[in-house]
Amino acid sequence: MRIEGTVVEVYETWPLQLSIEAADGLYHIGLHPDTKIKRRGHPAGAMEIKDHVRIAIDGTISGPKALLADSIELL
Amino acid sequence: MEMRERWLQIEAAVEEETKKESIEDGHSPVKGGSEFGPAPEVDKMTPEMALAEAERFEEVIVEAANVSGIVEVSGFKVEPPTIPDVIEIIHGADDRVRVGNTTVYPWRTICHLEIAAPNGKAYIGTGAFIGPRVVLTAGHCVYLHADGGWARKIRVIPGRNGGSSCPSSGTSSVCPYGYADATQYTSVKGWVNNKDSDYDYAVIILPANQKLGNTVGWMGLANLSMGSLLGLNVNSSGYPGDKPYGTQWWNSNNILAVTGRRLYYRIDTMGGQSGSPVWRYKDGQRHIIGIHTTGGSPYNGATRINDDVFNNLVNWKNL
Repeated sequence: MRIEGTVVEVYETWPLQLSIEAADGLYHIGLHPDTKIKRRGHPAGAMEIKDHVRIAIDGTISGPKALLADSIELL
Repeated sequence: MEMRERWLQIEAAVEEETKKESIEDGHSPVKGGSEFGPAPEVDKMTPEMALAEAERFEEVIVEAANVSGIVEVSGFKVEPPTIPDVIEIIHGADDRVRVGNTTVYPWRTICHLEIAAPNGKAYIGTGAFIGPRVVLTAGHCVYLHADGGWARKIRVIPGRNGGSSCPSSGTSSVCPYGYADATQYTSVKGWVNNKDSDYDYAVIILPANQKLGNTVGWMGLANLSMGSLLGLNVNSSGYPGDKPYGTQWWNSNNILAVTGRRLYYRIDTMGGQSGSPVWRYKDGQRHIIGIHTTGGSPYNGATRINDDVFNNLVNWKNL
């Protein structure tokens, strides 16, 4: 599944958890240690995921409005 | 409104609130050793220092674009600080300092958390004892919305000082108090049911025969007024994932914004430090005033120990 949204919170466990506001509401996202993070096709770091940043997430649905992220694109 | 005028307005408005502050003292059972860790912890700023800091901050953000949050004071609202659109969690230089000796108070009360989510995923977080077998942490360390809910198990390792693992029984130099595996937690509906980050706090309850808090002690709790919190220089120490595994790192800075349920500051943090205590050191006493939860721009944030959080924690600490 792919969703797009704006980062609302960056929860500082390791790996990170996120909440993002998507078109159909608030989603909670869990990252893996090996979640691929990219910006314009180039590797980026988890520290670049910030409040207000728009991202697209490819991952697996893990519950209602919940997703485990395989990859994140910083838009 | 001029910054000084705003400050005076805040001071006047919170005078009544200040009278309602609540304090619950901590407990340090082991005598001896330095009370200080990597550096002297910071005491409260004077109002003059806080004002200077606020004015300096306002100068810095004069070209800011975004505004978020409302500072609510005793029933009326004042303009919030304008939030600059910066993108750092480590604010400028990384000022975190490694805690070399984690067996002295208060560092030994702070715990490395190895969290096993219900779906099998592993997370790292931080907690702090507040009672004999009760460890304060973030709600998202015990109830993981994207991973199936309540943690399957959390390994609580007080005063951990590196090392890839702890011995299966007893203690070691890197796990000086051993560990406890917990499967019992308490949080609030605001986090568990409503996923509301304003309610992001919880406690881990260790097995009844593993009251490690009686060995390591705990810091106190304080529900401080907004007037006491704004500008207050606070400490936080935890277990970040970007440093050698299981090492504890301390930092301090001022509280720059407060809402009814959140605190915002520029203490440098990283993933793994969720659940770290944010505490005030004053007159030789340490009181936790927040639970670190989020990194953000421009501030990092904590759940504020307000009236209802304080009352819950006081009720839970002796479970």
